Amino acid sequence: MSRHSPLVRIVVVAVVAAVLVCVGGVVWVVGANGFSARTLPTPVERLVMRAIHRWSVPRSARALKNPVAYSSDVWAEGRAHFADHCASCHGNDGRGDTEIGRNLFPKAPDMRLASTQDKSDGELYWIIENGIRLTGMPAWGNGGTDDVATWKLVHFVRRLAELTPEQLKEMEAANPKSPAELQEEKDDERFLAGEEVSPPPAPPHHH
Amino acid sequence: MKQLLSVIALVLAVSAGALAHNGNEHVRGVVTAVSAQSVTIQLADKTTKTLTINTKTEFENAGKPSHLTDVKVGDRVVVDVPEHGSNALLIKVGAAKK
Repeated sequence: MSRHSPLVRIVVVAVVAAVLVCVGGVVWVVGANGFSARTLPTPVERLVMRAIHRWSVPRSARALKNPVAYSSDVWAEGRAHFADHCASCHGNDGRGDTEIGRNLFPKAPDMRLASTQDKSDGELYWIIENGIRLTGMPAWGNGGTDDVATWKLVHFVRRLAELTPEQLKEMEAANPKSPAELQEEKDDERFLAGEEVSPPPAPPHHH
Repeated sequence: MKQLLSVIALVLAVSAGALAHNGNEHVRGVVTAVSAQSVTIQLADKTTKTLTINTKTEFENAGKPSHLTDVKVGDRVVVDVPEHGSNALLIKVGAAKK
C-alpha cells in the first residue's frame, strides 16, 4: 500500500508524462530535421561545450608554466609551425575564418578573443597536445608536458593580435597546398610570363 | 610519432581540396578596361569579367608590391577573387599580350 496521497501520485504521473512528452517532442523534431553542422550551436549546446572545455583540461595541466622563454625567434618558429599545421582550420590570423573552421561544429573560435586568451598557458598547451573531445580539435601531441614545439605555439597564440600584414603574407606562403594548387600557381606564373596555358579549373567541390 | 603523422596527413588530405587559395578563385585574362573602381578582363574563352577594385585590393608585379597605375589595357593579369564574390583581392600583373 502506497504511503503517498492520491494528489502526490497524480502530480508525479503528470510530471513524468510531461517529461516523456518533451523527450518525445525532441526525438520527433530531431528525427524529422536531422543535425547539421551549418547551424549555430543552441544555448544548451554552448553550455555543454563550455563544460567540456573546462573539464577537458586537468587542474595540474592548467598550472603548467611555459618552460620556453619568449623571444622573437621563438615567436617566428611558432608562427611557421602554426601556418603549416593549424591555419587550415584556424586561419593564419587565428580568427577561424576558413572553409573548414567556419563549417565545423562548434566553429573554430576566434583565438584572439578572451575565450582563448583567458586560458592559462598550461590550458592552451594541453588542448594542442590532447585535443578536445566532440569538437574538430585533434590531439597533436603524445600527451607529455615537454613538447618544445607546442610550447612555442602557445607563445605564438598569445601574440596573434601582433601579426603584421607582412607576416601574414609569409604565413600564406607556408600554408599547405594541394598538388592542384601548386600546378595552378605554376600555370599562373607561365601565363603572366606570356605563355599560353589552359584556363584554370573550376573551383573544387567542398567535400 | 606515427599517430601524429597520420593525423597531420589526414588533416592535410581533408583540407587540400577544400582550401584552394584559402577559398579564393583565380581569374586569368587580359585587361580590356581599367578604372579606379574596376578592372575588366577578357578570359581565354573570350568572355569578359568585371571585378571591383577597392581600397583593400593589392597589386603585385613580378612578385613585388605594385599599384593600380601599373595595370594597363592589354596586360595579362591573374586576379584573386572570393569564390562567391567579385571583389579583386589581389591583382598580379604580367607581360602585355603580344
